[in-house]
Amino acid sequence: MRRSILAVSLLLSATAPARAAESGGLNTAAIGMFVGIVLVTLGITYWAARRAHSADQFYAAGGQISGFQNGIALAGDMISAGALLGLAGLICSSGFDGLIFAVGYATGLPFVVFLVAERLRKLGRYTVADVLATRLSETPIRIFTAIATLIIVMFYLIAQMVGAGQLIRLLFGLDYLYAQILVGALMICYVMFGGMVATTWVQIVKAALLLTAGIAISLLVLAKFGFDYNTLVARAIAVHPRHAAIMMPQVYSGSVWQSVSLGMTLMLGAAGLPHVLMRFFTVPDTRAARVSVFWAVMCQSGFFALIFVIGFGALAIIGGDPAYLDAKGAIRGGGNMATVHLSHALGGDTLMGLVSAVAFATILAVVAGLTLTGASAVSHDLYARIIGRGRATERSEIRASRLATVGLGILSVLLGIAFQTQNVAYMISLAYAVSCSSTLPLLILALYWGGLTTRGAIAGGVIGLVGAVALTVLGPPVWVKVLGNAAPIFPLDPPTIVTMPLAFLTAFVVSVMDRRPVPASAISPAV
Amino acid sequence: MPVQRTPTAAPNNDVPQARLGWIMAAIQTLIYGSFVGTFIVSPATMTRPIAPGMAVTVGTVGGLLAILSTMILTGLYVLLANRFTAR
Repeated sequence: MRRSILAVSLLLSATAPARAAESGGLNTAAIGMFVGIVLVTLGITYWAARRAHSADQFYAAGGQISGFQNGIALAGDMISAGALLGLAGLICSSGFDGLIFAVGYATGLPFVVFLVAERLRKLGRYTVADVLATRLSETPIRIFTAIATLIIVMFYLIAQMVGAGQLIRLLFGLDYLYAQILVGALMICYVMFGGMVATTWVQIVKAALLLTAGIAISLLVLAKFGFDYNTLVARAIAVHPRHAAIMMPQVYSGSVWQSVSLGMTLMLGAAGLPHVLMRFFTVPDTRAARVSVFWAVMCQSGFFALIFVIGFGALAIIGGDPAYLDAKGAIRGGGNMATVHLSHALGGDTLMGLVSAVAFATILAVVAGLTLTGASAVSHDLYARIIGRGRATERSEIRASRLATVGLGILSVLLGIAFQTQNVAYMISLAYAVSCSSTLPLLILALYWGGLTTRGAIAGGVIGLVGAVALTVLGPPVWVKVLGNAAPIFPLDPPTIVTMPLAFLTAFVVSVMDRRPVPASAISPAV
Repeated sequence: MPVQRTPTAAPNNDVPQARLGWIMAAIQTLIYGSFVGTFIVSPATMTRPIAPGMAVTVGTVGGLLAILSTMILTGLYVLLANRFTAR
């Protein structure tokens, strides 16, 4: 493993500075911090590799992560590069919309706290399927949950990979293809050698950097406006061509159903995301699970509150500065560059280098978490519990998860390359819709309703999953924006308001009608 | 009527933190729902300045308060649930 790490560092030192020099306009601070982050994360992996020999270590860091540490890592999982870079860009282009997403994402995590986290920790070992399998027939529920997990993880991963490639090209001048290979190699390295221990610590390092950068930018923005938030907002309104109209969110300009569906998805989506749920298996007990979500909410909500300053700050400061705009008045390099330009305007090359490096660390941490979750679904749920049932040793299970990690890593690099020029914006919204319509309903019913049967769970989950995918394809994000049709067949994006109740209803009705697995002792005397 | 189908790991809804969890989730839904709902029902309310001549709107403050509420509710939940389990 030492050799592979060396190979990655070589690949890095050979490509990064060379490419950067060719494209020019890049600062040494950015490259320095970029290399620094890679070295630190590889160091963490090297340290973690000596511990990640048991399945417990590999999937759940041996349950040894403290509540506080897990909370920081969880906040890191919730704040992707899209949140750091995309929201400020969205505020620059269409105003309040970015804040709608910030508020929506912030409300997601408390639901995980209130309804899911503790029971999950109590019942589960490594994966969400472990929890469902405690009370449903193991084979079908594991197959379904593993498939749903892989679908959510792959869509999320492709969106991150494509975003990563474009971003790294802009930030460091590294060619898209090399960026894909670099990100893929690093994430395989972290997960394969360091398992959950390395993935968690990479996430903690990134979250700490992210919060520091967020606070620094916010303070510098406020300082520019004499620490008067009203002056800042007034300037942002004056700069934007639509002026005061930006204070009305565009996302709510459609039908009421559309607005409610989006609201539901943002609020409930997080509670069904497998890579977020998997975090709760890394802490020693339910109390630590509770403590971890407390810290996670503090960090995550604190960060989303900072978006109110960073977003308007980006609009107010760089929105009126021709140096950061292209000929059409849009942000140079696209909306994702808004935060990066803002940091340059505020703190020159040093701050811009820091923010670029933080964005890179964010991408690495999020893709590593996703890969680990996908690999666990393959090796733990499919390989160890179903294919090798009773015969798979811990050793062979870990080998399977390492193979799955390499497989998923290579697949995501290939898909990242294949989707380079495609519009992948719908993939995150699709992952959230699938999460709301399949994993979340099953989890809530399994945790809180004694009447759920295996058939009911599978029927509800399949209907929700297929419905969410089909209606997203027929809806505005794919049918219109990708396939170029004039009008969508299904009008809502995301389709959660239809598919989530449908999943709950199907699971309920089928469970009630399914009389098969009732143990005699459980039939109430009244029947 | 829900009938318990499997003897293992039956969901127990009677523990106090389960009820507390649902109450907190309901309050959170209500807060977020009013933020989204007011934008849908009465956009003029949300785009109005918080005071005459100000640029900051009611919606901006509402959004910040909704985010603040996630911190307060989670803190409250952890505090109360820890007390329940300590008993």
